Amino acid sequence: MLVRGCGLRGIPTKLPAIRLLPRWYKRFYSENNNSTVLSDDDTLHKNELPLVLIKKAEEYSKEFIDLEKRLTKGENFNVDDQKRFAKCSSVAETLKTYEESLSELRELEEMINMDPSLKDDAAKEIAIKTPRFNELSSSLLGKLLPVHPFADKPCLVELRPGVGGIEAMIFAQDLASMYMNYAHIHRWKHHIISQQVNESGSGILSAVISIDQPGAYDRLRLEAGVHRVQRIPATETKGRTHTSTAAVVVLPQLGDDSEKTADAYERTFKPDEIRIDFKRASGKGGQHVNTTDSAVRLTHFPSGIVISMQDERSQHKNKAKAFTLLRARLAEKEQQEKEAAGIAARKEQVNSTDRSDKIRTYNYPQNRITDHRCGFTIHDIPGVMAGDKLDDIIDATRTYDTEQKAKNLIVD
Amino acid sequence: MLMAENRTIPHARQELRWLIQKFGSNNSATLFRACLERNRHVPLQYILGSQPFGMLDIKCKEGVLIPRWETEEWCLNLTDSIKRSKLINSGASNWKIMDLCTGSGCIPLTMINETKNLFSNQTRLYVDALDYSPIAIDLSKLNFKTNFDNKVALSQNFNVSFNIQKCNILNEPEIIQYLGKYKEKRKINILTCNPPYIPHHEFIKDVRSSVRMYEPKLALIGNLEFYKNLNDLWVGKNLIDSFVYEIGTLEQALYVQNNLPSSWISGITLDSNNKARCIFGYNKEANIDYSKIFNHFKQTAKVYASIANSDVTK
Repeated sequence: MLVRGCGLRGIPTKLPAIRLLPRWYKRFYSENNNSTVLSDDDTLHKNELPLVLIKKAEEYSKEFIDLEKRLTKGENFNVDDQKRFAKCSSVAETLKTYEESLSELRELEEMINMDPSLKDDAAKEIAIKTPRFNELSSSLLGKLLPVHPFADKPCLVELRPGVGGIEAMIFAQDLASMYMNYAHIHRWKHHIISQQVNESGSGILSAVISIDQPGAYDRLRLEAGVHRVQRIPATETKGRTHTSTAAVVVLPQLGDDSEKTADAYERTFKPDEIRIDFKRASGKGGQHVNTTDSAVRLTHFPSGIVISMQDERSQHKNKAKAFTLLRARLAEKEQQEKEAAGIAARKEQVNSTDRSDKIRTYNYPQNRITDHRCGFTIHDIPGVMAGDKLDDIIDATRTYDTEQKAKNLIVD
Repeated sequence: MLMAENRTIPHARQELRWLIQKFGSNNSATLFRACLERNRHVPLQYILGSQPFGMLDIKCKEGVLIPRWETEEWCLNLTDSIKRSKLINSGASNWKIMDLCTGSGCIPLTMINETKNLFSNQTRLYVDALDYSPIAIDLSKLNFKTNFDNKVALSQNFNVSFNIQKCNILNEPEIIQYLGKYKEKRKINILTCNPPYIPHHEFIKDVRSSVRMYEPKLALIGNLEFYKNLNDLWVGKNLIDSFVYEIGTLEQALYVQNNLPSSWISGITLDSNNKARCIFGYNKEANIDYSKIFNHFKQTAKVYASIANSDVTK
């Protein structure tokens, strides 16, 4: 399945993008006894959804019919009803096409069994229709899964070196440039909100990148976690391979970092919840000095979050940026608490993709990147670090995440 | 090289970043010259040519005082208090704000920028800025242009007018003559001023070398002249309803307080560095209830409560 990278270390290898097929193709298949293996090629596996999910979808379409009846009676819908209606109708529609496509495939299969003379034609037809069917089934699955509340938001990517000293700082910087390259390739607007450079050498102590594209949070949220690197550092003299880590935090961005929104946001806090400190030199102040120091420190007492910001010359802008960060962190925290509560309620320890430790390894000597959550491996470090192959990994993790969520949905 | 003005390495790095942002890293000759100037204590704001002030970007030139964060703080406080008081919407009368010793124009321009949306068809905001220095007059004109495009655009979109005048504020007849030119002899609603307030004896002792060597003495050295002028002329001749003056020492504020008529209510506010920074006052017999503005102004800034509290004076 996997294509071995044959490139020498340091030389960019031009490998075709490898897309690991989501494992649930097979998993769900094993739960469904009524589908038959048609060929050895994985892409021809008919990817039916389990009955529980279909039932759930059917509930939606029933509700859709009810709502439609109410609508024809001339009832007025409030906003929530409208939202519900839109959701139900889209699920019902997808379910309809899904079932049509499924029955077509079944007919074709039957045809093969009944009339061997048509086997070749039918097989061809199936080969054409199966991918389309799989598309439908995954879109139906996507519609059944709860949408992340911040899915349409732009995001902030925070990077911090972990263990490994300067090498970890360099790796954090590599990751920062990887995400910026990624945003650049997708033509997403992005900028560095703050960055603290290691003063005694290379690398960074921390960096916050803002990616202003709506939906960027949904795309990148699974990047959060500890990234591990194995390579011979530039700082190493004896040629030994080191292992270092860097932490990536992805936060939804709820407002832009302009002064006005920050001002409005500031007012939502009670005065005793928050403290804003400005770095002030001692002395007379006023006309006696002309300071250039505009650092702002923000303390949020209920959550214990402290944010320092000093990159801008304008104290106002520093404050606004600090508030943007605080807002993102609080939202993330709230969301995590909600999710944790949900998991606890299910009394099931899910190996969540969201926050598992050490999510990915970058092995430079082998030119290999492995995502530990879904087991996906790609042999093209330069391509990933340049941003254009990162999508492959993200796709794989997302599929894995959907699979996990679908499992939870079945349990419910 | 930047360490001469910066006490710590992070600060120096930060400054270097700003310098690179302005001059670019590839143009090393310009960058080097800028660093060299900084090494000679030239204020960073003069090298970069500007200083952020509230929402505005105020241009800075040698010969004009650089806006300070303390001024920014109380100025935004004041505009916020005006906005919250809702006085402007309720009374259908025009407003007049005057700023003395305007320098770069940072105070009146921020006043305009923050309050311009409050003025509708019925009410008009007149903002006047006075200064004695011709360089300051030119710079404040430039700042007005860069921040508000031009006079026409501002007066078309908002009911606001702005006027800059060269005037010797300490010369009473000149002021009275200037005010006499106004057809509507409207009283000034709020008078703001950041006068030179560093006493002569403090100038060598307490002032940073970068300020001492490069910023104009005209805008720095002074003591009670302007506060006396406030009491005698503006308050004494009943030209204003309220005022906010920046102060350097508590004595200056006490001097003003002790010489105010009994119908005036006044207070002293601290900046976020806990230094006495402003004196404000309003005439409680005025037509408009200014307590609505200044009670909020007092709340936002820490108020200098007890005169006996001696560590504030230090």
